[in-house]
Amino acid sequence: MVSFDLNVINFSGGQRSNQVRFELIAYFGLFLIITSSMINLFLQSKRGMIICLAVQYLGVFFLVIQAWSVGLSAVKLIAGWMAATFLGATHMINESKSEENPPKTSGILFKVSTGLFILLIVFGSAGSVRTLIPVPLVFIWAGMTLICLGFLQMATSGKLLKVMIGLLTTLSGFEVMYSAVENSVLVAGLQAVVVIGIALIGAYLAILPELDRS
Amino acid sequence: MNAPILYIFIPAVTGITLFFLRKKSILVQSIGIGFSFLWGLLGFTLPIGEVITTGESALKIASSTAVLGRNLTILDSDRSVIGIIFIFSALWYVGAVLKKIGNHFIPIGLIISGLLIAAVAIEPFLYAALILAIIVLLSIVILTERGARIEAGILRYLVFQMLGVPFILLTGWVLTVAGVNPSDELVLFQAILFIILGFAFWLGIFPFHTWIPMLASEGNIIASGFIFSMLPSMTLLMLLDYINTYSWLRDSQLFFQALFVCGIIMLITGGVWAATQNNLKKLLGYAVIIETGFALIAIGLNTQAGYEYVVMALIPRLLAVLLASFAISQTNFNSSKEGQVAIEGLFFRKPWTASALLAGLFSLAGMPLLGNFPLRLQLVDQTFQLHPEAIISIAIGISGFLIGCSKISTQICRGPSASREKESRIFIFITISTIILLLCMGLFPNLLLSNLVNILTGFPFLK
Repeated sequence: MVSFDLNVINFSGGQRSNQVRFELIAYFGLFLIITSSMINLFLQSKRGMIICLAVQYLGVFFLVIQAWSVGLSAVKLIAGWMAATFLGATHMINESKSEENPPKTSGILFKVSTGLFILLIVFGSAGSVRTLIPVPLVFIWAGMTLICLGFLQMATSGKLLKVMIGLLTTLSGFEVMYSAVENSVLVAGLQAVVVIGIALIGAYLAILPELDRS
Repeated sequence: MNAPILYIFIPAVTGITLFFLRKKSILVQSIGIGFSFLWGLLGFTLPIGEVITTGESALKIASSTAVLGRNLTILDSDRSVIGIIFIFSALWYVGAVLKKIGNHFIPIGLIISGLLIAAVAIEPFLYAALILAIIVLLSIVILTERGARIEAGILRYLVFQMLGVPFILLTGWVLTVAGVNPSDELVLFQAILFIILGFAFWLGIFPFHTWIPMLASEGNIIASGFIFSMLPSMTLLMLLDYINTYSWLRDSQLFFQALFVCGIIMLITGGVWAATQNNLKKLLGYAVIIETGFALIAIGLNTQAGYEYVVMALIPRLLAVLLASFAISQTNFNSSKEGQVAIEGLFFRKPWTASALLAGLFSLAGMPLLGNFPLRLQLVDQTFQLHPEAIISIAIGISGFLIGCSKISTQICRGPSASREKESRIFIFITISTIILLLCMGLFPNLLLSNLVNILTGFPFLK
């Protein structure tokens, strides 16, 4: 079990300057998470969505590294990037084909405004959530942002890639919060397997209609 | 030799091997079905933890092994569950062969069977959530058909099953905290909330139930039926394991009331939706919802009789879902208007298929003489004694499903008599055997099902 000073991310024996540096890394990770997941809401370009997913996992890495060792945190980053690669490799094959109508401005505005509203709720209710899950605020902000924006992603689109990215986003939000309370190597490994498995299934479903029936 | 290697790793490795050989259909089908039947018989007959002497040699199957620092423990009381998983998997493989989807269904089914046992055997059980997630991912491959469009049901199934995993993992953490301070009401409430939400996603408790009828109506009914029968059954056993492990959970009235209410809600939603159904496949989906609802009501009663219902109803439920799924697969029913006409006059064209369909559906409804009836009667009687107000909900659930079954029966027996169509001999044999078994279970439940109560010896702290 990882223990925290709830106000400051403390490392036994660490210098104050190291603590400040680590806090800055955590907030930078939070910035990457918020930015990438918000952009992913309205992006239609598959390449852009995959890049945002990769940046999102980089943000998750910067947060998880506050609680776990670098090696263990790297497992999450590599699994996330592998997932992005698998999804990108299959979904971007079809990008050159003639696509549906370009998105409407009203749709983009709706998603962005809903996303901002969600962010307001997340930041406003983080204190209450902390009574349930006693971890540093930055973990709750990041985790809840990913969970809620992931839900929004899944709920507002029926497209396969969007649903897969939304699911991965939601699960990564949970992983951020869970990493603060549990640092089991086996759980981390199995979670990585699940993330890669979801991406492989997403890739399989993308090419399924084009496979020969046999 | 130990039980986890025998019942988890060997089936999984066999499945992986057969997956690479899947082009050789006859080899894969014969090995897969034979292996599964054999392992089912081993599960029922081979004792675990006892020395078996054969002549001059002695063999002992150890009950646990350590994998990556965690224990996989299979007790002697789990043998019935193992036997059921493998025997029924073998029957599903036969159905897959009849529908010509056996090449990838059988290897993946074997891996899933091994992982299902691993999910029940793993200690601590929070890892079961991740194993279940892997099972769901593997099941996507058998639920989808090559060259077919991706429908919404498969995505919804994937999303809802994955969303259950975080709640169960968080439950593991909260239970650790609650164990340290069991008098903290907030922590207990939090743990109960997470458990209920996790199992709500997995079992399809309203409003997270929509994936069940969608998955049933899309894709292959054999694959859907396999998932509908195996996953909820093992998930319910995992729930019993949770209750058995934590004393404060067993002492929590709120938890059992929540389960009871969830069961009632599933009955009402399943019954109401089933009554309006003309889609045969969706009707089977709602039958699964109602069955799970009854199981939750039984657990929610927190009585010995309730827990006995959960384990004794395993085989009748699995048989009924198997029979109904096989029968639906033998029709050409699909969701289109033309496909829905496929069951009109079915009784004249394919009498065995019609008989199997009606026997399966009415057994799930709990009709007298069939497998579910005596167990359902006992459960309803016990519920009436403890919660008489719940009887109306139970009546809505059962009658709603019966209305749906009646509509299907009318369609089956309606229409001009047509020439008899050829039916597979294997299917006829399975139909006759299963109907006889269901009738025997309905007429002599204590004779055939009482041994399943031994499963509860693996949960010694349940009432």
